Formats: sequence, C-alpha cells, structure tokens
Amino acid sequence: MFDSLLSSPSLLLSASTFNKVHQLLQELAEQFGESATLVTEVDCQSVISFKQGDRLSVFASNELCIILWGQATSSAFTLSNKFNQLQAQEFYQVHLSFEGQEFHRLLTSSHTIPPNLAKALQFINPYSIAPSPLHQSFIQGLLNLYALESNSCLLPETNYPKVSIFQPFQDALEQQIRQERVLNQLGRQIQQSMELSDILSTAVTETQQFLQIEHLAIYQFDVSPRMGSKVKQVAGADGPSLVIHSWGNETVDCIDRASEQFSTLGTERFHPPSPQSIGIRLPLVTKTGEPFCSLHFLPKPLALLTTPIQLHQHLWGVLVAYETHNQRQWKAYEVSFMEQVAQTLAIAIQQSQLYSQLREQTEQLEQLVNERTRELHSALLTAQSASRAKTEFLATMSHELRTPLTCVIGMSATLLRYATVNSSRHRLPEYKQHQYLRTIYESGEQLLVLINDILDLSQVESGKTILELLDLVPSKVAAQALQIVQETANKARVNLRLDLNIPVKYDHLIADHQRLQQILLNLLSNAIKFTPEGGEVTLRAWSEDEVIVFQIKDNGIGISEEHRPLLFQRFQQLDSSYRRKYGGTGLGLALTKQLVELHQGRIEVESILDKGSSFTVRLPLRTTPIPILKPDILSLSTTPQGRIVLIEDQEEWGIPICDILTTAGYQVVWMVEGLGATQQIQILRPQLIITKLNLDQSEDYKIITRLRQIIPSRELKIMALTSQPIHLSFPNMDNTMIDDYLVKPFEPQQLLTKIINLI
Amino acid sequence: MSALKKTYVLKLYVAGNTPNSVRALKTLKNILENEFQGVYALKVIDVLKSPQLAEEDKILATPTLSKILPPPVRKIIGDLSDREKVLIGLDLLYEELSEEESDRG
Repeated sequence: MFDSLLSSPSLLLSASTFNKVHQLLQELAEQFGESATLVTEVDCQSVISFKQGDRLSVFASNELCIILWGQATSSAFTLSNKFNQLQAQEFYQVHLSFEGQEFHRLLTSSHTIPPNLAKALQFINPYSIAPSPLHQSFIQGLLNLYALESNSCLLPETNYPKVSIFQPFQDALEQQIRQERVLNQLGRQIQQSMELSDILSTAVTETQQFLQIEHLAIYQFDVSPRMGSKVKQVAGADGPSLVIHSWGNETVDCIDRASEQFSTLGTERFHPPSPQSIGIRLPLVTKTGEPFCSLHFLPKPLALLTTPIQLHQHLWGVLVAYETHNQRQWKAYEVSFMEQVAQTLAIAIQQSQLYSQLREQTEQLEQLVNERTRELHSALLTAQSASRAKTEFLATMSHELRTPLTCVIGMSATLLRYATVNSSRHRLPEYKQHQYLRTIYESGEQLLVLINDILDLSQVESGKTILELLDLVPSKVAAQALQIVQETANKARVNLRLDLNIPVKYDHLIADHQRLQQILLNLLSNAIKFTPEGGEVTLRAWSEDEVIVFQIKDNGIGISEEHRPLLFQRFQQLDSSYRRKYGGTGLGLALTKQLVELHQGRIEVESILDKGSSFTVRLPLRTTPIPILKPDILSLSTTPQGRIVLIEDQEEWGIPICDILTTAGYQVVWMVEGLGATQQIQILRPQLIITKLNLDQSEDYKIITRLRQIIPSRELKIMALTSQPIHLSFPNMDNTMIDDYLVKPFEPQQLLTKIINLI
Repeated sequence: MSALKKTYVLKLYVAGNTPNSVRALKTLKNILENEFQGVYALKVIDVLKSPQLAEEDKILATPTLSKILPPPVRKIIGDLSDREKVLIGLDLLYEELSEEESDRG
C-alpha cells in the first residue's frame, strides 16, 4: 500500500517532532472545524494493516490533503540501546504527500468504512491537483530543518539522499542553461549572417530536440503589398506557405501552398494526398487574437502550440509545435521559450531582409556603373571616329584643294615666265599657252565647284538654306540635268540614258529648282565617275502616289555592304584606293542627302559589288507651294538670265567675279575702265552693274552718279564692291544711288545671293 | 554649280568711244543677244586707258574681238559688221576655219 508515497523521498524525524507535526495538523483540523478532519492510524486500522509502531496522520479538507506517514526505524532503537537515557526516544522514517488520490482509492476499495473515515472521504477529491513537486519538496525541507534543530545532538548518521531535495532546482537550472544555449546558438548564427533558411532550420531542429516536440514547423504568410490588413493577407489567394517542417529527427524542406480558404477554427478531415497523412486545418492565433487558418496535410494534432513571428507590427508567420501521438500540456516555460525563439527569428528575418535589400541595391548600382561605362566608352569611340573623320577630311580637302591650285600656280608661273621673255625664239607656242590656260581654267572651275559644295553643305547643315520652292516639271529638270553631264559622260565614254515615265498630269513637283538639279547632278556625276569606260548610266523618273521618283542607275564598281552606311556621311570616301583613282571630297552624297531631306524626301541606295549601284530619290509632290520670295524674282533666280556689267580695274577681282557669274549662268561684260564706259553701258543695257567703289578714288563715285543720270534707276540696279561698309566710307552717300553693296572679300555665294535678290 | 550652257570668254578691245568701237559693241551685243546660246563673259578693254593690257595681248588695231575660251583663241578685227565672220569666229557657225583666220601675230 501507499506505493507511490513510500517511493517518494523520506526524512527522519524523532517521535517528539512527529508528535508536534501531528499536533499542528490536529490544531489545523480543529481550526477548520466542520470543513476539515484529521485521521490517524487508529482510525484506519480496519482498512490498512500497519506495522507495529507506524504512525499515520491524514489531514483532509476541501482545499488540501496532507498525508504524513511515519515508519518506526530500527536505527532509532539501536541508538536507544547505546544511550540508555534516550531509550524513550523514537525515530520515524517519515513520508510526506499531498496527493489524496491514492488514499481515496484505498478507502473506497474496502467494504466497510468507519464513520470517522467516511467524513474524511468526503473531503478528499480524487481529481484535485496536487501542489507542484517544488512546493512539496520545499515543505519537506522545512520539516527537515525543524527536525534538525530540535534534535541536533541526537541526530543519527544520515542516510537520506540529500541530492534528491535539490534535484528540482538543479533540473530547473539545467533547463535554463540549455534554453540559453539554444538561443545563443541562434544568435551566433544570426551574427554570422548565415542564410535565413539555415537559421530557420537550426531553430526548428534545436527547439524540437530541446522541448522534445514531435513536430515543429515555421509557416510564412505570403504577403502581397496589395493586401491591407492581416486577416486579408491570410484570406488572400496564396495562403500561408510552408517554409520548414521538422518531423522527428529529419528536417524536411518543403513549400506547400494551400489555396483553400477556411473561416472556422478547429481540425477537420480533408482529402488526403497520401494514405499516410490527412489534411488538417491548423488553427493559428495571433497575439491580437485574430484567427488564421491554413490547410496542411499532416497527422491530426493532439496538442498544438502556435507562436506568432512578428515583424514591425505585422505578422510574418508562425512557429507551430504539435503532437500527434501524445496528449501534452504546454508548460509556461515552454511557451515563453517558444516566444523567445520567435523573437530571435524575427530579428534574423529582418536582418536577412535588410541584407537582401542591400544586395539588391548594390547590384543595381553595379549595373548602373556598367551601363555608364559602356555609354562613356561608346561616346569616346564616337568622338574618336569623328576626330578621325575630321582629320581624314582635312587631309582629303587639302589634297583636293591643293591639286588644282598647284596647277593654277604652276601653269600661270610658266606662262608669266615666257611672257616676260622678249625673244620670239623662246616664246611658248600658242597651242601650248592655250593648253596651259585651259588647265588653269579647269582647275579654277574645279576649285569653285569644290568650294561651293563646302559652302552649300555648311549652309544646309547649319539650317540656313531656305528652299526657293517652285512648281517644277520634273521630267524637264531631269532632262536638263542629263544634258549638263553629257559632256562629262562623253569624256568618260559612258553612255547616258534617260527614261522618263511621268504622265503629263502628274508632271508637277513643288521643289527648289536649283537644289533639285544639284541632287540629280551630284548623283549623275557620281555615277559617271564610278562607271568604267563603255558603261551605262540611266536616269529614270516616274510617279507614284504623291511621290515623284528619280532613279540613277549605273553598272559601275558598286558599293560593298559594309561601306553602305558610310555612304551618306560627310567627308567619307569609301576607299582610299578609290580616292586615289576617283577624285572628290566625299561631300557630294552627304550634301545630296541633306538636300533630299530638306525636300522631305528620302534617298535609298541598292548596290551589288562590281555590278553597279542604283540611287533612288523619292520626293513628295507638295500640293501647296510655299512661296518664299516673289514669283518674278524666283523665276529669274532659278534660271539665271540677265546681263551684268562689271566695272573693275583689278584683274584679281575681275577674273573670279566673271567666273562666279558665268558659272551661275549670267552674261557678263567686264569693263576694265569705268568712267569712259558709260556710253558702252548704255548700249549694253544691263540689268545690273557691279562696280568698284573705293574710298580713295572719286572716279568710282562719279561713275555711279553718271550712270544714274543717264539710265533710270528702275531699269538698272547698281551694286557696289567696297572695302568697308558704305555707311562708314561714304556717310553722305544718297541711299538711292546704289541698290546694294558687298564688302570685299566675299564668298561667291554671297555675291550670287545679292544678285538674285536684285534682279 | 555646273553651268547649263557653254561658257565663252571674249575680249573686246576698243579705243575710247570712237564710232567704230561703238558700232562694234552694238553689233556684238546684238549677236550675243539674238544668236548666241551660251554664257559669256565679255571683257571690254579701252586700249587708251589700259595700254598695257593691249600690249600683253598683242592688239594692233581696234576694235578687236578675241575669243579666249573655249579654245582655240580667235581674234576678229574690225567693227564686226561682217556678221558671218563674227559668228564663225564665235564657233556659232560650224564651218571649218583655216588657221589663217586666227591671228598668229
């Protein structure tokens, strides 16, 4: 009997001490009166068989049950034999218990229960919860102390296990240490910035081992920024996803997304994905008491503990511990430990989030730096190639400009030398002179074309060019252009063919006549230049919807594919070997393209190497002409007609001006002497007189005055060439005397523009 | 800026405003205006005012018309009243001209 009681730790008390304790219980029972009772070994004799000398005191009340069982010990008797005067002294091996269940079971098992025991039975509640072992051992300790004090001199050799008294403290301490160790380990891992998944799995395994939990899992809720409150997050489409699930000794990583949604708590069966497991809902409760439900295919839990993992006031996930085989009451320290783990995990998660954010930003920055570097590199390349193109251009230009100049200077020097030799024997034959002069002239013309090209291009590029738009007949312009290059083609022994296919009613185009001609001439002379002897160049023109198309086709050397992108760039000739064979600055096509674009048109090129090229220009038919200048002036300027008299006594000015004017298509009469020429001028009746007007020569002024006197000003325009602005040189000059003036030196284009505006 | 028409460079040597010179200019003007197709640059030189130019060009009499370009150089002396001669001199009449037409001076 009293097996459990007897197995509990005992203490040695003297009979007097035992009696005092008994007395205390008796007083306690008396104090409680009717609500408590005291039972002794005498009361129980009929029910329990005692050894001789055994004592029993049972205090029973509604609230407390104290059982004190003293067994007479032999050691006590030995002692009394040794010391006679202490014979009366008796010792008891005392067991103390607060658990009434066993006593209750014992009493109820006998058939007859004495009346005083029946009263005790009333009070003993078999289901009452006993005080904790700690509590019990404390009282035991107190009793022991009391006993020690009262019979210190009599104390026999102690044989009770001291350790057993402090065992609970030690256990608690050890628990505390292990708890600390787990938390420390987590903290270390976090400090080492290990992968979050490692930290989580360590936390799960360690905690599981420490608390001897069957299953331990961390659930993370998928948080989408669209979702507002916590409840919504969970009720969202994704639901919680399983991060780590520790099962027994092995840790299983798995991701499990439950798409089903539930609104009630509790466990419920669900269609099992495999026979080994069943689907259950885990009731998860946050600190604020809001319910979360999720579905996972796990065995039904008998005990469940969920701890929220909070991150900045928002629920990141939960730590779930559950038992599927045993019932388990979660102890307070276990719950608090789980909370501590959850807090530690929250720190780790936050740190990992920050870390990943940082890494993302670093990557972004790196990417940005790389991009910038690439951009800079390409900008550098562009700049380098531009600088190279410029250098090449300068080289080409200086070559192109110098060649004709060398001719001019060399030939004229030769002529001069022979001109000064008086002896007729050494005179240069006339045909030779002609040859030289012709070379000089052609070189000069070549230079002029070159310079004009450069000026044109710079003007077009700087956006200064204004198109003088006219209603043109495209087929006529094409025919004219062909006519102009005919001579060049003949020289190069290249056949020219014209293929016009524009119906008369569409044969209209609003364009700048001069510029259009320039486009065609550039392309034609290019085609001729790059076509070998016996080749053929065809100019075709036809009309498409709202577009007039000109196509210049040759069967020349062609353009390789890699060279095509360079074709329309400034200062680019495609090959240095070509450059040697074919002259040119490389401005022509760039200018052509600019001009086509000024007309809102397009230029395209198709080419097969060694077979030939074809350039196609598409110009829109502008339905509404945009007149920029007065029509009569336009008609004059586009097909320059008119007689101009130039009065200039200096050869170095007269010759270039004559060249510029005749090249532009004007008829020029150059009077070397002005004052006497007024009669001649009257005979010639020019539209314009260009006259020198030098500050130090009153004669020049007189010429103008006289001219004004004999010819009415509306019939004759006068333009003066001065060395400085008129208002500075001739402050008193009448504005009506001259129509315009030009300050030397001037560009050919300036002169032409002024003339176009005057006549 | 290629010229549409052929360019001629002509020189006319006159001595002041003598009747012959004036007549020569008038005739030349008419021819150039009515029969000439190309573009011309006519340099009028008064041998009285610019004798050095006349000397350089070996001008012995006035008026003289000289075609410098296109080659060959031709000189026509007189008041240009012989239109046909002038036209031939200006290559406007396509007849073979013997070398004696041009002055070897």
